[in-house]
Amino acid sequence: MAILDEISSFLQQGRAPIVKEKVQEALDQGLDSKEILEKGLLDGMGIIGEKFKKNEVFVPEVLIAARAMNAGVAILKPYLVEAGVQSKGTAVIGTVKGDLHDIGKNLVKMMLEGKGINVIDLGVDVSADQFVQSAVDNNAKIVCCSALLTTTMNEMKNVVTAFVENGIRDKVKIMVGGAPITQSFCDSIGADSYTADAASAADAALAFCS
Amino acid sequence: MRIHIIACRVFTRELSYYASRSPHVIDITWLPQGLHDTPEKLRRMLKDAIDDIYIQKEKQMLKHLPDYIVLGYGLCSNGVVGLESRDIPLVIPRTDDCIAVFLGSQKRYLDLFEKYNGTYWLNNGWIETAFIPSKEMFERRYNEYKELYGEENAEFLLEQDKLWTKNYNTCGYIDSSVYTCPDYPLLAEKIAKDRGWKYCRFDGDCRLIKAITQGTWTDEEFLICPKGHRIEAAYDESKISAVPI
Repeated sequence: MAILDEISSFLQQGRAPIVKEKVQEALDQGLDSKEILEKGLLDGMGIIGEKFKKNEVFVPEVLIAARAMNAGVAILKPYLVEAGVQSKGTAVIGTVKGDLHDIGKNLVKMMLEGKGINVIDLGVDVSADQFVQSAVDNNAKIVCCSALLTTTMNEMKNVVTAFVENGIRDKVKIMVGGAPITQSFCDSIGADSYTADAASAADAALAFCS
Repeated sequence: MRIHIIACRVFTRELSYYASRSPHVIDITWLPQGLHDTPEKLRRMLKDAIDDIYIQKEKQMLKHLPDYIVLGYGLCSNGVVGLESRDIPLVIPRTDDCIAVFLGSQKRYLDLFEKYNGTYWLNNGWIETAFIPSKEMFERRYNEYKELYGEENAEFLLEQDKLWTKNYNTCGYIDSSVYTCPDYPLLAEKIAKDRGWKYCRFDGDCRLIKAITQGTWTDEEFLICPKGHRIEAAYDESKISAVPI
């Protein structure tokens, strides 16, 4: 459908007002809300994600694309609810205790939403207990921990430990990320996944949902 | 002794001052400020800068190889992890970042980090080389966004850029015993006021910078990575360790 390609294309250009109009136009044409979401909005976001991984686009391009996606999703939401379209799973996300940086965390959140995952954002300075509580309350499959500082990254170990101590370690996949984080650190604390960028994080999260 | 220092430009004033007074022969390679944001790039540029010392010697542009290569860096988002020393030992301060170096010790930094969590640090080097959250800097960025992404998106992007400033609550200005421009603390105070933060002034302490240039590297505060070893992250108070390649 030409209009779905247009939605995807305008989304990639970060043109939120036009994406909004085109989504409405697609609905008016009688297109299925799920199809508009997946073949229009999520398709465009997926392309931006791939380009981001290859360093072909940078943070601002991703942010404006995600904004355009959210504008489109807002129009679609009532139709999606009516059609009974459910999210692919729930992820709890936050920046760990002591750390107040959220640019990377917000980017991951947007990318996860771009894959159709429901994201509960706990913000910054999130304690291990808060991660556990929110994961339980929201029946989350995924817990995403972010840290920008080498001074705070060790807090991620406390998050993993808290899930073990509460007997629910096997209920969630714990993902870690942020500038100082590495695969060897992820392995050393017993987390499930480290990804180097927000788009790869979304791919990994989606794989955990299936 | 010959010491080659590879340092972030944020140390320009303090390091240059103490280098000039060192009893040793000091050479310095300066790298751009801000590489901590992209630790992979920092690692690559540090490796290139180390390799360049050997290349210069091979091409006889350098008469003597240094006895030690010192990194004017902390962990800096783990950007120093993975570096290898070939024939010349590598020396690195065991600090999280440059703020600990400007404050004089990792211990003082961690104490202040706990006491004043939410502090945005500024000093000579940061004001002179980095993006700082001043009105002027944000205006400049807004105009760049406007040109690239249009007016509507520019406002949104600037809003996103400012989000982190809402999480901070204090601007900590670190005074330098080497040089203070009278405008700098005023600028830091103005940034604090504009962002709704508290303003605190702290005395800087150049003891680690002095140690870097004088070769007085204690095991407690510096890692000496012997030749044929690689720097690894330690994830404890020691921060980094050396392992055989």
